[in-house]
Amino acid sequence: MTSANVTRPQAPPGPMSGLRVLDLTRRIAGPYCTKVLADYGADVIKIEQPGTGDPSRSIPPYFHDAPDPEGSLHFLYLNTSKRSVTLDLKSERGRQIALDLARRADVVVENFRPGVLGRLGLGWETLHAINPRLVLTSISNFGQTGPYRDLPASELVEYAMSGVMTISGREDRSPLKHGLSQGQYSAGATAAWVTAMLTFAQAMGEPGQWIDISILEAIAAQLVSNEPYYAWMGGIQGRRPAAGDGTGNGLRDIMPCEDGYVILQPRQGEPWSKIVDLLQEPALDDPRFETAEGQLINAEPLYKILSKAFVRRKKHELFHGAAERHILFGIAQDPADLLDCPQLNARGYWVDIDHPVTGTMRYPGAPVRIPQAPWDAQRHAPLLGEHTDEVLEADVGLGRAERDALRAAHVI
Amino acid sequence: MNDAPARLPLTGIRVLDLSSVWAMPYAAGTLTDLGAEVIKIEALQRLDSSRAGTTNGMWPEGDGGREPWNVPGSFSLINRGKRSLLLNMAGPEGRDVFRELVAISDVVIENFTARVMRDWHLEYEDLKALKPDIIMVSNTGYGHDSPWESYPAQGTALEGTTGIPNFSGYMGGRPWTVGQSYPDFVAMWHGLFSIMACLRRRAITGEGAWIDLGMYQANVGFMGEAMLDYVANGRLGERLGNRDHIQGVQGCYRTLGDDRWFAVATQNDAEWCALRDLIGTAAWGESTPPATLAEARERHDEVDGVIAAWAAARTREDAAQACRSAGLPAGPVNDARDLLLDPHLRARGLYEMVDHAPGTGVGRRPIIGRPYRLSATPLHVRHPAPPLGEANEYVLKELLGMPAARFDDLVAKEITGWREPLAEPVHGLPMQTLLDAGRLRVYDPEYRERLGIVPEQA
Repeated sequence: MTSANVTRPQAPPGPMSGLRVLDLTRRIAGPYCTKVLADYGADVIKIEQPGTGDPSRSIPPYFHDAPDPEGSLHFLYLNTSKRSVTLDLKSERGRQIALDLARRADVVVENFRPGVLGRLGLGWETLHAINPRLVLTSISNFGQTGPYRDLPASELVEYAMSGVMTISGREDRSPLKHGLSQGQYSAGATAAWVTAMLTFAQAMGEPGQWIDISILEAIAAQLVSNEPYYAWMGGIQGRRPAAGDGTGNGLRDIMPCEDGYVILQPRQGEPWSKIVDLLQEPALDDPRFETAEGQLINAEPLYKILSKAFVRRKKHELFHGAAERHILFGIAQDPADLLDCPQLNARGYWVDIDHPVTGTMRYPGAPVRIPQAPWDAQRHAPLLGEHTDEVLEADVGLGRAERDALRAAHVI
Repeated sequence: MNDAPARLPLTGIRVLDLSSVWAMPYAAGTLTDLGAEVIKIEALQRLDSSRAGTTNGMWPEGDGGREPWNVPGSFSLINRGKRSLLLNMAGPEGRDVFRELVAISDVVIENFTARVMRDWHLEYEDLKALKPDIIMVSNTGYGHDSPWESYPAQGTALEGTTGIPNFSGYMGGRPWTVGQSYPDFVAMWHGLFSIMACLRRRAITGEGAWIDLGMYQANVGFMGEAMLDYVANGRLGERLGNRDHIQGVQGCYRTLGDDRWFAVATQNDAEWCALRDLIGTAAWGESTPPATLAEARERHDEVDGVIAAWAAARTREDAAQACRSAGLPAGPVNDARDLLLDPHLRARGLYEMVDHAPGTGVGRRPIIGRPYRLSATPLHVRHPAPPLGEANEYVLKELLGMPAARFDDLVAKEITGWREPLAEPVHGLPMQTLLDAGRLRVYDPEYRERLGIVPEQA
């Protein structure tokens, strides 16, 4: 267990340290991108609408289920290490301040609908003209071009259109989306790496570019088996066939065991005897099941035997037993399992972050360990406008009187 | 597909790619689009298992032809643009050659279990001694220096362990994995981010780094709000099918056609009312339609029944169009054919036609390009995936300047060189078997005409 506040003084800086990011993003996809940049060392200034802030402040779940813009758990997770400045981008003075901040920034990230940034007077041509080094990252549902550019979308609709749902779930039930907001996170993580790539080019002296990230494409680009099945042989995949009372043959699919759920993934060419040995089920020792073809053709009997074999066994015993035999195996875990997981704890994954409203809470930590330049949640997610004064004074040179006037005019 | 004349962002970066299967190979293939020189290292004795597609048989027309190891679809997509070096690192001579390559490279990517590189004395500190600013990615299921460091892992089984299936699946049912090997892609994005961040840091400080990428923890971070919901509120989470876990009313409904579906979502009162008005009051029978999003959410089962009945009388295109015209997020549930023919994705060039290596029988096929565009640097797939061992001489003789006598000696010892890598012929499953077993749902014999591709006559 490490605490962000305790480790910071002695830890070396993260790999994005020194990078200045002007963050115009809201909700999930954009904030995940800038969270990655910030937790790896970038100085991220998050612009929020005065009064309401990032719309993710107004969506559940909340800390202790109490609706509070400072207690939104989406917001608290997705905005660690950032500073918050309230600024009305629709006002001319607000726009000028944003341009001042963009002049000093290395990167701007935004996820407005296509065209909105331009209408705010902050489009690519404007930003590129005032700061040729600047990288602009735009994340949108369908991208900045193409016939669907302006269509409304949502997580479910993007998943539906991406192709992932058509191969997920049971044949006799509806296509199935991923849980929570995986499409938004997928796009945010894609945006983070492409942005980091251009900050490398920037460090090499290259001029900035405009990055166009499509959430739909970030999901669709995962179908590295589904796409070539059609392009190589005309095959279209569907959902899992319902064989017997199950879904396929019981392999590569989450199955009930005595104390939870498990998933067994045989590899190509792996001796079937290893799996018979793991499960200690004599009925599996059958030549019909020894080849991948046999496992496919004899799905129903295999499913029946596997279901009986799994429900007699405990998940952790099977998980460690599979690892000893070098068999691919998973257990379906819930948040309580994850917080207790000896592996995650040995890796120092969870971090305790203090916050003025919630007190100290345990958060997910580093996605990747880089010992020479580690991840560090530098600070808790900011209160709305927490850093408005310090940023406008230090970065834009606005004195107290001017800030008071802007505050009275609801610009900040 | 062409060699772009402009300088690409990663021009001049050389990458040694020891990885196999999906996550890191796809990351390394992605680097080639950006101009990096990626040398994929395999051994005759140990091919990337995604070359040997014996069970999925994802070969052109299901026929592996004379070189089945060079033609699988997924392999070709993932490994585009790379060079292929055969180098058996199981013995010290092969590892010596690898060390020489490290000294002239920028990035090393490997996904062995932790003990392999340790046993070979090729950990980060060893590589750093050869090339002080080297950037090394070690991708494992669970991360190094930890209790599960040598546990094998691949995306499908690992997805369960990540916890994401705890929130995925039909309402009240068991956890589900969704898509294809999802944790691989989460690992790929974070691996690419780490490489780029460390390249930036190297450009500024001159220092290299070790990237210890455990796929497990990269994935747990994609459920942050749900983890905090447990920490703060004790809520373990649940499976909601296609319902919104935040506050909307939405679903996926069957339409006219063969297994055709569409999805629609409402996220506020105005959107809910627009959907309610589109469907009309008659559909609600005796009951009063919900007036607000919150009420619709409370009556979600009933709402689903009404939308399902409305959708069942329409095509998915008509249903989606009607909803979009009312300002609602809506769209069809697309399959692989729909996607490859989609006008929007075609206009954006998500799929890219690639002419594959002559003699393989693959010919011209579309593969997935990139989910991003750069304003000043048009990107393209620069070369097809490499035939096995095509760059042995280029890498060893040209890049390393190896004398012919040493090269020939390595060939004689089968440390490099070339022979047919598979002792026995491999067979794909017949299309009818794939269809009968549900591995594929539909076979489209006219797919080549639809895609506008003419396969090479092998």
